[in-house]
Parts: sequence; C-alpha cells; structure tokens
Amino acid sequence: MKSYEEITSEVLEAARERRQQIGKRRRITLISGIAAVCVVGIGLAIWVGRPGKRVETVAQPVASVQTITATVTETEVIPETTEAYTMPTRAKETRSTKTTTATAPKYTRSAYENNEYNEDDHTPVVNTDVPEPTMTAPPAPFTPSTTAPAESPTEAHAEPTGQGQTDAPVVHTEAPKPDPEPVVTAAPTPPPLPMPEDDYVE
Amino acid sequence: MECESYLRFLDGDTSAMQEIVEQYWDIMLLYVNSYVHSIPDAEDIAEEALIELAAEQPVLEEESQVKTYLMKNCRTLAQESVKQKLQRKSDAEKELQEWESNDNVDLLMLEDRMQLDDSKRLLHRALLRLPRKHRDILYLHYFVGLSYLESATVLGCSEKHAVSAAYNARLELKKLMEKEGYFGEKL
Repeated sequence: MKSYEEITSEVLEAARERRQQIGKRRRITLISGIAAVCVVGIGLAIWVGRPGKRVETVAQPVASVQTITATVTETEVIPETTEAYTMPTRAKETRSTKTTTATAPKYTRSAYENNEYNEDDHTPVVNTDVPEPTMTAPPAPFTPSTTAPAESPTEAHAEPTGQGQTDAPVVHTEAPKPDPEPVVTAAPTPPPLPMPEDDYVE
Repeated sequence: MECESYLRFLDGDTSAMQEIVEQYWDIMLLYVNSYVHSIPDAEDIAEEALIELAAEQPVLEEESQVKTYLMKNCRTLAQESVKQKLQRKSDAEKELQEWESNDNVDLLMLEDRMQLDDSKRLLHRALLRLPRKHRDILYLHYFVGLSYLESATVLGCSEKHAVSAAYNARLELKKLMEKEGYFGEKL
C-alpha cells in the first residue's frame, strides 16, 4: 500500500499536467453579490450569488462590469489579475443646500377667502392688480407676514415672505407706500379655517 | 463547516493536499474496494478521484461538499472499472475468485490503519456480501459519514429513496449477520 506522501506527490504531479491541458481558467469571486458578467462566444454569462461565492469559467470577463462585481483570478495564466479588487466607494451625492429664499405660502386665510389661490397647486395667485393704496384704504386682504409680528395665533403657520411684494409690478410709482406695520386692530377677525369634511365633527 | 485544507490548496498551498489525502484516503479506499474487490485497483481509482479534484478545482465551500465530490468521483470511476472488468468476464471471475480465496492482506492493512474494532470489521465484511444496491448507502452513511442527502447526491437518487434504501439494507444486513451468528449491538 502507498503512503500518504507518495499519493500526494503523485496526485499533485498528475494534476499539474492535467491542468496544463485544461487551459485557461478564471476563478471569479463575487463581491457585490449581484453578478459577474463574462463574454462567452457571442453571448454573455452571468452569475448571481451572495458575496464571496466562487465561480469558475474559461470565459472572458467583461472588464467594466467585472471590476464592479467580482474579482477575477487567473491563477496560472495572468498573475496581474490576481490582485484583490477593492470596491470603489460610491461618491456621495452632495445635496445642494436649499436656497433660503422664502417660498410663498400655499395659501393664507385671506387669500383662501377671496379665492386667490390656485386650486391645483395651492399656490397664491400672483396678484398683478395691486390695489392703489390710499390713505383711507382698508387693510390689504393679503398681507405678507414678514412684517406682521404675530398678529394672530391663527395665522402663525404662514411663513415669512416678501416676494409677493417685490414680484408685483409697480403700477403707480407715485402712490405712497403702505405702512410697513399695519394696524393689527384694523384687520378683520378671520373666520376659522375650513376643516376637511371627513374630520369635521359637530 | 468550511474545508480549510481544500481552500488553502486552492490558494496555492500544495501541502494542504496531503491533509486532504490523510483525511479522505482511507474511506475512499474502503468504499472503492467494495466495488472492485482489489486494494491496488481501489488505490488507482481513489488516486484518480483526487487528481480530478486537484486538476478541476471545482467550487466547493464546505467540507461535506469535498467529501461528496470525492465519493461521487470514486463511485463513477469504480463503476466504469467494474464495467470494463465485466466485459472481460473471464478475467473478472478469475480476479474475484482470487480475491475471495486470498486472505487479502491489503484489506487487513487498511482496516488496521483505520483502526476498525472487531465489530466494525465484522460489519465491513458483512457489508461486502450485501448486494450493491444495499451496500452503497450503508457505506456512505456509516463508514464515510455522509448524510442521507449527501449520500443521495453521490448515488444520484432522491433523499427519500436513500432513507428507504438504508432501512432495507439494515434489515438485510441484520439477517446476514444473524446467519453468521452475530447478535451484537443494534445497527
């Protein structure tokens, strides 16, 4: 009977000879767990498996894909390709910081009452017809809340804005500017906000 | 359980092959011998199975997979060998007679190396007398240590079939051993 050493040396020698006959083989270790793609003839071979799974092929790996998904080692043929591949860190998409320009409120109570909002996107209607301010004019129905220092707790949800004024075309340049600090007492007490029908409880 | 020695061999460590040989050689020999009834032939076949493993380097991650791969190779090669012998029927009969008449020193040496106790030796000898369909599953399950599923993979049948075959084989073996006057521990 043969000893283990004899058997081992015979096996290794015979395997070496046979491996030379087999030819090129590539061992592919999946990294990302998605797939390794190789060209086989005129088609593609795709392996899917968990990271660390090993597959073996004689096919030609597709360079761009295999570098993403797998390590390809050609143990005997091309030693250069035996380098372990490190997964590239995906460049984090840096979010552009939000512009601090105040957006117009979806609607305010007064705009809602006067149907001055778009029903589709709930944006206030750009009021091109700026009423000519007069000394005796009643308070404007829509007052930008930037200048209103917490007039009413019911309007506290309105975000500060100022765009409405600047965007509006100036009709009468001679007209005196409205008082930046409107009299709070002059504002009519608005009715309560309409509630959705579903939530309404008498 | 990962097959460390095989993985090291894949990484180019040739000394790992000796560990594989030491780990599996004897059970391979014992199994193949049950087919070919000749230790030298069994050695050739077992060696061929190992060469295939080393040359092909299949993707095997667990120890049981390596064992199953080797046993499957052994079985295929042994079957081919037996088929070739049957084609030369006269030679085969002669060899079989020689083997039976011979005390088979090699087999005794193998049993010694595997440190089989008396009951296991008796079991092994009884197994050799079983029909092949019963013998295979018991060899793989009790001597090689494969599970029913792995044995089924080697034999190319379903796990259920392997379980029922093992049951029938045990009954057959029990009858045989009782005939020979052995009433030892339950199989």
